[in-house]
Amino acid sequence: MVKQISDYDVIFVGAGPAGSWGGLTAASRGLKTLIIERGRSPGKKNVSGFGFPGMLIKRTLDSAGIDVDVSEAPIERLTNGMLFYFFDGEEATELYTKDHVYKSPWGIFMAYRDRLDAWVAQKAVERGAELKTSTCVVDVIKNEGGTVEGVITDEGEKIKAQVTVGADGVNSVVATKSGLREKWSPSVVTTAVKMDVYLGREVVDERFADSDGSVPIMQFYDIRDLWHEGLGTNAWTYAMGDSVSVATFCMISDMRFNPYEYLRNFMEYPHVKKLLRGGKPRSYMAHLIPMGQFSKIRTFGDGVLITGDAAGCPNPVHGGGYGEATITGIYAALTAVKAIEKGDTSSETLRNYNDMALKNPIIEYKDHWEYADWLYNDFKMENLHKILQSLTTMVYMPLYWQTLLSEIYTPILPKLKKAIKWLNGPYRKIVTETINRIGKEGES
Amino acid sequence: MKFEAEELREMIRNLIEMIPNSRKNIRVNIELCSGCERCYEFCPAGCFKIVNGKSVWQFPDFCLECGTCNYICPEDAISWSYPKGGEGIIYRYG
Repeated sequence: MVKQISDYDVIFVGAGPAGSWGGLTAASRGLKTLIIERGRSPGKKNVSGFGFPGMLIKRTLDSAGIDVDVSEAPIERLTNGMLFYFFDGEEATELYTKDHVYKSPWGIFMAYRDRLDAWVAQKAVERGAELKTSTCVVDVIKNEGGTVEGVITDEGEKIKAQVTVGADGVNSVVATKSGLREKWSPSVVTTAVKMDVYLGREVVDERFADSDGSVPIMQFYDIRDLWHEGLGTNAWTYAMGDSVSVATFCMISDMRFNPYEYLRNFMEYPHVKKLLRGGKPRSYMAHLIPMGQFSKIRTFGDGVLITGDAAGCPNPVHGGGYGEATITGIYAALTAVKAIEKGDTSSETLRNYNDMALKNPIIEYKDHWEYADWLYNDFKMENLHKILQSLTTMVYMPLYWQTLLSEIYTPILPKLKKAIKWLNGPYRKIVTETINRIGKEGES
Repeated sequence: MKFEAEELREMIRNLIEMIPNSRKNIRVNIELCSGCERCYEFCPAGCFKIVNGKSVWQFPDFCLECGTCNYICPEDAISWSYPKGGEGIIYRYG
């Protein structure tokens, strides 16, 4: 006999950013909260590129009344901007966009997920959430009417809750078992592989960092369109405390080589090889990223919500998903609080979660998708165009980060408005809407 | 160029830490498997082997739990789940 051992207001399945920030929010609001993690501790199953996008999530944390001092987080390094490399065989061009907004714990800092996720989960525990590790959720409990009433673990334990939140990543059990979505299509899932290469702190300082130790986030483009000839579709390098992480990405439907081959070929590129010179690989990992699916799927049901990668949150242009997961986790918690207060956790009430998320420009990426389609599909032409698409991404990324930082952009609005005439297509639309949004926020 | 899964496993042998899986959480349905070898070629940890024209999840102790095999199989012949809680890969520097 399986016994019901406990009742919770809300269960977050997964102690990644959605589960832990969401759990922190729910517990802070007085909900009896459980976070279930399949790893031995949070973050041991997780992979990220660059770390903590504070500038994306600060406003959401503030509006939820969550006061956490991220300067105490396990920060590897602060960043100072984005560095873009354009390769053409042996030749390379570097473009370095430095911006002071990066350089604070609430900008973007580099972190390892095994340390960062454990730190955030600990914050949730300090606010009253329970954390249950080494436990894999294998199914949801459904009543006769199809309402999700909790989860079933791999030990056969049934744990009931008024609201179950799937924060269990790209291969989410909650999302599929609750019937909210099917398995992803291979055309929207990217396999990312990453290797962490130890260099020593001094070497990283000398090779990558400013005198204050801050580093750029590095993205690579091959302007000869060789990605499909063995370099994946995207490649990044992240300078960490005493190492450098390198990562390549390839959409599963486009895969022509083993994901490791893409990474190895990338690491053999003369310029990358130079950056990694003398390094010693110390870990290797693979993880999937579902790109930009949130607005295309059902994210709420009776008694259930799905968040983060489980809901296909990552941005379709660059694959970033930590901020998106955090925001949706917090929205799920706030929605659960209201639904439980109201005594109604049906999909009619939980729908509010989806509405909230789609009002946030970080999550509602219809236009980002148009840009991604344009970037990756319509624009595969000559070298000049390759450079142009890279350059437009370079403009896009800071705009994306800073969409919420109207105080910085308001003074330069007139200049931005003038620049629109140089832009075309969906990109023009994104920038126009960004400007409108900033304009509106500036007035309010 | 044919991908060499053995070389890949040799490369990652010293780079990963893991608790061996106590159950077979990934299975290939032999009836559905067409022997296309895509799981073998694209598994980023080289966990598959082709035996008599069919795929076998032969090296579970290298599995990175990513799910690539689950999405890349054109016949949907792979039944995929996570290992038991607390088992499997332990990422450092993730």
